[in-house]
Amino acid sequence: MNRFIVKAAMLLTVFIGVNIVLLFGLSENGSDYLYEYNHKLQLLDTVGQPRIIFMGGSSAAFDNDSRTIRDSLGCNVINFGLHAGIGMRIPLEDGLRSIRKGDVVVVQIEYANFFNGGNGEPEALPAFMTATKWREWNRLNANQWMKLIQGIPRNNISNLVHLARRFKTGPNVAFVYTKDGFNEFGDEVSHLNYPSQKYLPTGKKNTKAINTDFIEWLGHILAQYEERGSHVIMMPPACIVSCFNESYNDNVKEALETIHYPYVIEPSYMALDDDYMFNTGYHLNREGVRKNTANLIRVLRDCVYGAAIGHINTYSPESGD
Amino acid sequence: MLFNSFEFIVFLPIVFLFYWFVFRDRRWQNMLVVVASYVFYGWWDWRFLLLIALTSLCSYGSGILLEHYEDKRQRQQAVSAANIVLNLGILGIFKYYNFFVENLDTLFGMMGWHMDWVTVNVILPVGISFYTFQALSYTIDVYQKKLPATHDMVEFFAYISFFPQLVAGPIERATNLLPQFQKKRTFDYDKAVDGCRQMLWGFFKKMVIADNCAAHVNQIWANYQDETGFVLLIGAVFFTLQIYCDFSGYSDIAIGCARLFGFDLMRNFNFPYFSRSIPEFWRRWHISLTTWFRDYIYFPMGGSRCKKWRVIRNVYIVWAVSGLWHGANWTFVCWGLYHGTLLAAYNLLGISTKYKNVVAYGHRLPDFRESLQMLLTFFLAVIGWIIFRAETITDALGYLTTLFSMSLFDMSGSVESLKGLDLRETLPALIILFLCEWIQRDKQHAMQFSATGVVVHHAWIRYALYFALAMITVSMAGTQSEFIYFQF
Repeated sequence: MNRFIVKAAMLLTVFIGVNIVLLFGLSENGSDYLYEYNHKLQLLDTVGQPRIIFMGGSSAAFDNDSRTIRDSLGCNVINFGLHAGIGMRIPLEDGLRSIRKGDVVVVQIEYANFFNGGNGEPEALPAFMTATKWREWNRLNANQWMKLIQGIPRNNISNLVHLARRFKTGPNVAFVYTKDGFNEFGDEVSHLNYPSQKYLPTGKKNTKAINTDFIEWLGHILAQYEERGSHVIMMPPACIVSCFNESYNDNVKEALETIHYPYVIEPSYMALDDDYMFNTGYHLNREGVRKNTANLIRVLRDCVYGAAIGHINTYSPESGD
Repeated sequence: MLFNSFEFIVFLPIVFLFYWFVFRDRRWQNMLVVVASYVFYGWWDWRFLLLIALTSLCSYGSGILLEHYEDKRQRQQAVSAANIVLNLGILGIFKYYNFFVENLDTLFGMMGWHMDWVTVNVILPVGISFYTFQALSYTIDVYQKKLPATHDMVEFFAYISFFPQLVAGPIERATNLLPQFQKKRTFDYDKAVDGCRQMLWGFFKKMVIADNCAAHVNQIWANYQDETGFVLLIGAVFFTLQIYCDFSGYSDIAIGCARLFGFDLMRNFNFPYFSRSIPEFWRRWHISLTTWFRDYIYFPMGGSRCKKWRVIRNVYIVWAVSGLWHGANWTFVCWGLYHGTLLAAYNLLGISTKYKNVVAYGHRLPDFRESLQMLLTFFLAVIGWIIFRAETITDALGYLTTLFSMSLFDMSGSVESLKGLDLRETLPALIILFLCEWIQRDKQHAMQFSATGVVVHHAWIRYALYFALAMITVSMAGTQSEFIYFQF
């Protein structure tokens, strides 16, 4: 018995040890997509007012043309969307620190967050923590730690694969997720140069129950945004129709109404034809981005001007970048 | 609680340590098994516990009564019949009531009669079919005097609720599992190590192959009307592999886990996709259920020792019931009848009892004839799984019609569609699966090492293998999902 326990413990220790060594010992992949988060944090601190901040996952990053929005609405734009896999808790908490009076915060939460608690996914959390130098690791909740630990071996394998690919020569012909794909506003723009990839939706409707803990937390943090003088606009994320049919259910709308942050438009309004898809249900191609940006401008113009935040149209280039 | 969950990773070592270090007495160990099993099961929904407790209590009571009326056969018949009716009644209400009501309503509607039926809105308790059959096995075995009734309520409750195999089998026989609860268990190092290896292989099959295949299967099935026949064939093959890895993966984890506690559960899978005929396939697939039906339904009806037409009838009855056991849907019944037809055909050809040995035993590769036989059997199984996977008969027919259309040969359209599936992780994993299972096909499971093999004599190879498999399993795990057979 003791022999069994000792061997099992040793094996477990070696497994954990090797993974820790790989996690901290492998040279960092500095061009990883998630490194863009540091740039986005910088934008929050440095971009002048008046400004609109888009909060969300990769849907916001891939689907918005911030330059056009800036030119149309006459205010600075920060695209703080990055990856649904890091959840919504971390970006919203970080955003709160840099928020200023008069900011317009457009919150576009990918629907999965409402069901999984917005804590992120094992696929992205370890790489995200590495990219942000384990900054504020102590704020992670138990669920996030669990997902983080679960994702470490996967992260190590993908780092090893990346290391091996360094020896591969020749240009990339396919789209690659990298931090170099973002523009100065925080939009992912490199994908606009690639043709759409085939994507098969699963056709399975999400029927899970809403995570009430997340909803409660969301109401609480958005209230803090407003206490600091910003104006929160709850907007559905852009996606293609197939993805919308799978991911959205009416419970989301009801839940947001209970915390008094209802969607400013019907979620179906933001769902575009499948032809506008780039490589996932939430990522749009060039035409899709154009169409989605036009939709956003239309809605924001109504919300922003209609909500009497009149100072936003006093934008002048001097107060900008 | 799912095997592939964080909760189980914490739960298992705690129960293991308490079992061997704190509760060393057999009775206390049995008590711990009951408590741990109820925690494990109640993790889904505590209300399920009431049902399993009721099933256990009634079956336990029936055993006592059967013994009490030892010389009164009629009373014994009444007791066993009452317990069987009660257990099947519970199963019927929770699993089949709405199905029958809806079908009767349609039937009467066609005859012009409209009746007000009451449907029940209840959740299907996880694994109800498994533990109900286990309870029935006890009552029937006691009635048939294959087993004395137990008077120890704790050991009986432990037998019904034993957590490794509670929700998806193997469906244990009272004659095999109950006596193991009645004798003292001692820790067996080799058995525990072998159990861990089997669990590791089970996790690999479930988390890497089944869960990743599931994503492709769902995508193809969701759009099957728009896909080519070739893509549908790939989708059907993926489901064939998914259901095997999902279910046999669960069985491997269950059997391995039980071995950690000193129990030997019956084998449930014996590399079924290396079968050379459908009867051989069914001797290797879900063995615990197939033998249950054989012993408690097929043999009592006369089995194969009667006139040919009765044998065929018996086969059809057993397979219709087997289909229905899998779920309250006509697709399952059709799937059962499809296999019943194949088995009847093999029976008529007189080759249903052939191929009891391991394929290509002593050889590295099968010969041409064996390869063709395996390919045909695999293909017939794939067709069956299409019916099984479909949500309606119309879907099954639609899928099969497109599959066998000219688009089966449309390679350019198929390649374009298949680009939408990310197969970079799934295909290498499938190669590992097939290689390991083929090499180990004469063993109990793919990670059972031969005493004379190189792996046993070189510890570093063994540990490197464990490490690599664990890394692959954790890092390539698809989205955490329930096991398919839980719903049955």
